[in-house]
Amino acid sequence: MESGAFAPWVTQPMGLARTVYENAASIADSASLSCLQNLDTKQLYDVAQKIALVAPTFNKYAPAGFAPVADGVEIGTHPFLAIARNEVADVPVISGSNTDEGWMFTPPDMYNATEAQVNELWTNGGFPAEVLDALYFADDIVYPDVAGYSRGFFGSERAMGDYSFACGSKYVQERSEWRQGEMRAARLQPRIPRSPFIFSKCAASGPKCATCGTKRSTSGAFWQTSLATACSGKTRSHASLVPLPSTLAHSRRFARRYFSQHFSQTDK
Amino acid sequence: MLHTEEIDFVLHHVESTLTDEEDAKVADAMATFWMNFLRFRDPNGDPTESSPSSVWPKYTMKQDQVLAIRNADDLKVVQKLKFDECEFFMDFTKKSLEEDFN
Repeated sequence: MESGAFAPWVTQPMGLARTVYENAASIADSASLSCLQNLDTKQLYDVAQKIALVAPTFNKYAPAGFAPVADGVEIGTHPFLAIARNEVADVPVISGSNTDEGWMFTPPDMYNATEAQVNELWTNGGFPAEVLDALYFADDIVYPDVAGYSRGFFGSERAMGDYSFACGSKYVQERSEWRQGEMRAARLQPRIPRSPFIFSKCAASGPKCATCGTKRSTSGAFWQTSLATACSGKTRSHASLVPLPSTLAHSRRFARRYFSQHFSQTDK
Repeated sequence: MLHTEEIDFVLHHVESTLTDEEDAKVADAMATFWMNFLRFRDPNGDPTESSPSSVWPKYTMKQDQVLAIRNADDLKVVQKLKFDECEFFMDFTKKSLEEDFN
């Protein structure tokens, strides 16, 4: 379990959802729910893009405009709180995070940010600067030496990764002691220069994909801009964004090989 | 290691994305861990074997152990990873969610 399954934005409270709905109706010039329901995909997408820029709908619960809602029917409460109350299935889980989860959510104008700028940014977001400073900019903390990226950037990127991804995973890991289901925790941390996204994929000449940015709404725009800047203007090939049929076929082959090796001996 | 990059390793995309030899070895290790988990509920493999592997220990709050995967030959169990950072962020998240949802 990765990818911010317990981050704030995976579920929003009903009160905020009503505001999102009212903003959507207003932006779409729709007077009723049925009117909104008749919008086509392109129109809905445009509404979502605009909603993300309108306060208070752009916030920690809905960075992309829309988000699932704790409606008391399909979703009882936020998953983080469900874990806190032990209202979760009692099953074995693998949970983890990667070293640089926050990188692609940190905009390019932060790549050379100073520590003071980063502290100010996070303080504006409601986080106490002295805590961030102690956690991410203490003298003994070593960050990777990558040309074009400052120490301030890495501190901010790691803080974003911890807030959004790593600490949600850690919370699930800690709470697992309440349950019978076993927990295994992972941290994936190959050296940054090996990162296939930024360093090898971008260097290779691949087909440019003009639509990548539209695949992932607001954060997708961030994603594409960050990567494009990191790759000196080269747009990443679409092949590494979405698994192609050939890679899925390969996964299936690996699974078959695994099962034929292991099951032929013991599981006739 | 960026957000979403683990996917290629878990799904063993060595013929498309992970063409680097070292990456492919990490993919071998990770895909095997995940397949073992599917089959045995234990990423180490069959726990009933005479000498079962114990590369990846079960998580306990007291030990706070995480398997840090850096290279195929550098799988290290580390303790208290992100302990201080997450004490702060878990508390921050919990308080703000409780305020908004309750």
